Amino acid sequence: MSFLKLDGISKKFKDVEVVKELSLDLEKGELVSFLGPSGCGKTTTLNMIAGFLEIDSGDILVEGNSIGHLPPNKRNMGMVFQSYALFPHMTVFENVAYGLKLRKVKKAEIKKRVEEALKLTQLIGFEQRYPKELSGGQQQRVSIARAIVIQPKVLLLDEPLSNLDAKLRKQMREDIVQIQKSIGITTIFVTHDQEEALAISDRIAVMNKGKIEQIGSPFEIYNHPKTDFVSEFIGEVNEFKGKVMRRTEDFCTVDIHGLEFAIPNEFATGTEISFFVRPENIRITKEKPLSQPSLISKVERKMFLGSKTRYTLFIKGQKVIADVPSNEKDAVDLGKGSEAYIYWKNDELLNIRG
Amino acid sequence: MKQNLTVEIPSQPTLVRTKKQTSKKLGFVVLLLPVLFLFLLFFFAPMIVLFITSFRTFNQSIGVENQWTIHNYAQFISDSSYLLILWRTLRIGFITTIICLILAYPFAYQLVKMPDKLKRLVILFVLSPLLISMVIRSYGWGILLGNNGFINHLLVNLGITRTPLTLMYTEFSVILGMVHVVFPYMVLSIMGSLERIDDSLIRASKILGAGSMRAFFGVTLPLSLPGIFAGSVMVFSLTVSSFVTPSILGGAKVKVMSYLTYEQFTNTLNWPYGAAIGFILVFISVITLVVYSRILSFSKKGVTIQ
Repeated sequence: MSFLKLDGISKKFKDVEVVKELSLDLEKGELVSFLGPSGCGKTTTLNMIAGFLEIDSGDILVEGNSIGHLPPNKRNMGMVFQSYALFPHMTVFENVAYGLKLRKVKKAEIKKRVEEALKLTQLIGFEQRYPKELSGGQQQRVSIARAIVIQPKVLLLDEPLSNLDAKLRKQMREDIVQIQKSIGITTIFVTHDQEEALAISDRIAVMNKGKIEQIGSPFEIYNHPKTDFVSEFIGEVNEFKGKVMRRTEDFCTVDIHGLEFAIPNEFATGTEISFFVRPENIRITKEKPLSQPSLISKVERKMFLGSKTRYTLFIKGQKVIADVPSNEKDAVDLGKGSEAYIYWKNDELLNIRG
Repeated sequence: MKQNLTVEIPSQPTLVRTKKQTSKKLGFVVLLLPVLFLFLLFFFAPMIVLFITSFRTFNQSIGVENQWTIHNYAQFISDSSYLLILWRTLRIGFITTIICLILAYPFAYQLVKMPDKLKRLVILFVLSPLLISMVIRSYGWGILLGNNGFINHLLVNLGITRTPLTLMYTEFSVILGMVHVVFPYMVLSIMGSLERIDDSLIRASKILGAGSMRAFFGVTLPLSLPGIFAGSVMVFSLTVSSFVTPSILGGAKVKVMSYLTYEQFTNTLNWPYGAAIGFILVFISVITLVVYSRILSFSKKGVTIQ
């Protein structure tokens, strides 16, 4: 039995269906990200789980018990808000103790548990400060401490890192995972940042137009995207189009820009097909490779990006981007206007469809 | 967060900057001058003159004399009928403030939740009494409250009372008129502070286990204290210093400090005593407000109350 179950929940605002019969099962202790562009319904879904929005249909279950129609204060969930939402009129200690006081926990016990939470979030010594006297990162940690001190069943994080600067964001996301794993709390993390989602999630639910397009481990999502949307939203892709010329038992041969490639899937002869190749999977050589079919292209631009070098190439008017690890750049140091041969491995094609 | 948008000019930095800074400072002063001039000449100077006058002696036949005295203040403090008027003025101020607070808070609370279009309309409605002269509004209440007024007419005809109730020229009529005058100030200032409260704070409070009532008393109310304070200050000061409404609805039967001051200045022409009465009122109101702000900020330290 799953720990948290979203059973076909829907939400309409006026006539617009924002979330459409969304179903999802979370295991205990799992960290699942809701990843998607703004307006995809991820925050709406989170607000329904928290109880801030009434669900129109479907149900939400925690350990098999329906909580779908309980008010937020009866759901026993912890939530970290994008704006942190710390109470400005309370000290750090009072903020963290707030949920415990409402639960009528004894004073000594409150003190002990608040201290534990502050220790976990590295905030010892800040108890008597007011939120406005803290940095953004510290405020965020208070917000996390406040959410976990009540020992909630589920922890909900609503784009918690979007107000932090890039460096702090990376640090914080590691801290969040570390805290999450150490207390083993089932967590939903809403974000529009794919890198963030890939870095921290056990599983990612990629959302689009109120539906989950695909759910899977970061590795699966990145390397085996099932839909166009997922392929294009996660990472970057080059799209290639071609036509199936012939087919044998195992593969069909397609014509792409006048060159014949074998692709693994089966399509009828004459089918127009397309597929994606990630920039890091596009190989570039100066000399025409003998063992592989390759396309000739012209270098339009070269951009040094630190660990990698990005080439922008043109093949008969089609733009292709290729990322080459910078330590290999000697092998393919190509200037603007020079010719380059590109090729890819067949098992690196994404989402081939007719 | 906040970004510093100042652009530094690297070439000839010292010369350019000092010139710019001086002209900036100059511009600042120039912009302030008109209002400063008006304030000093028409508000501060008369106040000083009046303050000095309040320590002068008065002679029925000569008028204001060039002698120093604290007699005016002593006279006020030693006369219980005057102290009674001071107490009445403050009482009217307190009661008006409390009534406004009780009426305005739930009103403002609903107002901030309204959709923008409706909100603008309701605010216009709340402000509309301010467009009408205070004199007209007061006489309007007179028509309603008088012995032959609408309310008494209704009460007698319905047989609820046999003789008309005395509604006019009472503290009740003064307070009623004052609430009507100052209500918008309270609504607007409470609304201002309620609007600044981030909705996610209420959500945070609820998900941590607070019901609607607990969330209100634990978060919304303390965070709206600055608005409550600002509104109370405005309403209280406007009420204790108001003249038109108490004189029309209370008249000589419900004398307040401003009425007393007016009497001294125009009837007996005793300017020093009138000035002293005026300053006693200012002094007492300031003390009242300081005490009030202490009480409010004592309850919640994290909220700044100016």
